[in-house]
Amino acid sequence: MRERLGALLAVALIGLAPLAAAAQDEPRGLAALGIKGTAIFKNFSHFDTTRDDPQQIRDEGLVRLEVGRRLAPWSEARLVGEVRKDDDDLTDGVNFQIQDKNRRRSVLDLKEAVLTLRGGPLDVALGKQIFAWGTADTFNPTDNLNAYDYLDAIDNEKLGLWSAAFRLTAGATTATFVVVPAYVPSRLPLRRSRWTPEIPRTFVGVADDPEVPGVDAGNVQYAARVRTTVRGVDVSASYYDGFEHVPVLRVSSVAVAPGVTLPRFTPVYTRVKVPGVDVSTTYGKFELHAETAARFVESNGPEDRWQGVAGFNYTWDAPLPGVEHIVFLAEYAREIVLHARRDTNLLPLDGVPGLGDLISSRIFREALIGRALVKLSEDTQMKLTAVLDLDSAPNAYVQPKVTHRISDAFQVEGGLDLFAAGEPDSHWGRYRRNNRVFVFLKYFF
Amino acid sequence: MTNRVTALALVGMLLGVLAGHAAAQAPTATAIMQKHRELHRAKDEEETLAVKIVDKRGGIKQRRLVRATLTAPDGLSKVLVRFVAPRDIANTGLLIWEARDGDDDQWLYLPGVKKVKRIAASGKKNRFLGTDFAFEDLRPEALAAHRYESAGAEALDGQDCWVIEAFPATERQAADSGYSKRRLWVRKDITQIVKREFYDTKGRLEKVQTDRRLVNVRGALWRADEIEMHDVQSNGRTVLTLERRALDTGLKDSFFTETELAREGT
Repeated sequence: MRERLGALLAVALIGLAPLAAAAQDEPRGLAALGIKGTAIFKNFSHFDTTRDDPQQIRDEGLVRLEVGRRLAPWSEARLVGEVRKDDDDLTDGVNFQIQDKNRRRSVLDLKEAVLTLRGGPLDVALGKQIFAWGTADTFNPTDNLNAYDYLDAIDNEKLGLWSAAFRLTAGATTATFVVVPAYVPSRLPLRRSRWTPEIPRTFVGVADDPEVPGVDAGNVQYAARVRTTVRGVDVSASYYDGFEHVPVLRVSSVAVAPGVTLPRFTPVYTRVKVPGVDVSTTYGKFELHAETAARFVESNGPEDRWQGVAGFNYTWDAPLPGVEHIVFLAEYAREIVLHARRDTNLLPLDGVPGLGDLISSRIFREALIGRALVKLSEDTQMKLTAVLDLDSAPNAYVQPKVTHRISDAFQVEGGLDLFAAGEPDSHWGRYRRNNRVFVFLKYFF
Repeated sequence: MTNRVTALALVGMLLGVLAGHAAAQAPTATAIMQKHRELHRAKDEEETLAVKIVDKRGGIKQRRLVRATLTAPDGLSKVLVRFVAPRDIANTGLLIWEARDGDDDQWLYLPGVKKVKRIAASGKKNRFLGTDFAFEDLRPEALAAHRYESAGAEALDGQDCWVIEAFPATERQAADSGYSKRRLWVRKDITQIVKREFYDTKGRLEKVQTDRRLVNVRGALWRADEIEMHDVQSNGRTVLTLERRALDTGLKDSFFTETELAREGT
């Protein structure tokens, strides 16, 4: 079944390629109706199995349709819907929930649905939205609104968030205020996934379902950002009052028999207040940026933390024959615990012996990030990304990737995810059996 | 004999005076460029352009973009360019805030990551999304950042033109720009640039821009409905053809912001 689905999707996309150029000439079919589509086929071929995940090859198919309409001079609407299926049971049924707590993806999903109303300098956006705050490239401590789908920890994506966003613009300054009525947690890897740490076979305890904050007035989340440009420098100040999207573990005990208790782990979500600042400017051929935020626990959290990242982009024009340019990115990320609550029964996910790190922004406790994007032509580029974790014994993640545009409507992308060196319990070293090749085919219609 | 000498001297003096008068009347290259900018400036403007890119092998790619421009009372412009087709680059946008010294603020919106990124100066010489136009070719002429010199006059397609050479006037402009020199042909009757030659940093001719199908859109304001950029080094061409133009529709300053840049298609 798996082979059939993968082959079918790949053949369908390749078969569509010759039609691609023609599709660009004039709107036809869905395009004539103002509907834009993208069909994507993804293949991931892992070199190894893991103890809990014997599946080495995963195929995914995805069709995304988006439509935008201007309803009035002061109003417009935009919808993005998806149909997706894979052969690793990452999708399950059809769900349309404002508070999406499903552990698997919906086969049919509304990715974004935004109604925008404009009046003078005020812009109001209502609906399911995706936000992207911050100036850094790989890690944004000020970008806290959207949860992520981490079913594949590397090929992750943001989840749309039902919210109301108010933007007020005056000259070079934009103030944004966002209200989120229903909390959505990140979708974590499934328990039997190769991305979930292997729980020791000797472990005996009770693992509860996550306690996701309910939809009530006390759990409404807020965020605000003021951004301006002064003398060639972009400066933003932001504030987030809401929940972390990845849980911590509340540790308690449960009596299973007279005199016999077992440890009990309940995933709970930390309520935090996160003031942050980000800046960006240029100096000669460099784009320079920095971003920082403090995460103060309001409830359900073991520690207050400070996070910061700073870096630059540099473009090297025509460095070699046949190379248009190379864009270099370098960033350094750091996290410091400001205050640890010693009397708490809450543990960060990496606080449980034998469990190691789980999905967390804490991979950037101390990290160097580098990226070189080599543009060979408008159609072909190569990208090499490396993240070096310095927090424990150095361990790294490296991704070489090539993207080629066969036509304006058809693209192919391929590369490797490599988890290099490191101790078996270091962040990246733990995934050493997840090295893999990936191929994406994309068709735009 | 004496009379003939006197007559020749008088004629010579007269010609000298006339020549001097004519020289005094000839506008300087800088004055021509200033006049060009003043005459052809609209308060705000929005254009939809079809873009045809022809590579050296004759392969053709089609794109469409919308370009909006706002000129502030101080003469500085803000420009927002957004691709609407093809699909893989739709909604990619560029926002430029012109600075008097040419050191503009530029931001790029990448819809794939929904992020607005500031672009460094060096990015200005890079080609804009596969066209033969560099980012810096899409900005208004930066008068304060260039030195203009007259290079005589020529007829082009039967029209008398001033020929003007533009050089980077500041170290910053010289470092940021991909050009060591540009030659501009300015039609004398309407003070409109109809041809540009771009010379690379080694002084070699790199590109030639030709403006065609000139139309008088209002008063002294002229526009080209077709612009071709020919890269003579790679033998690629990009042709911009006007599909729609609207002038002075009341675009506000708030349109030329990160919020609008990041607004995705309707």
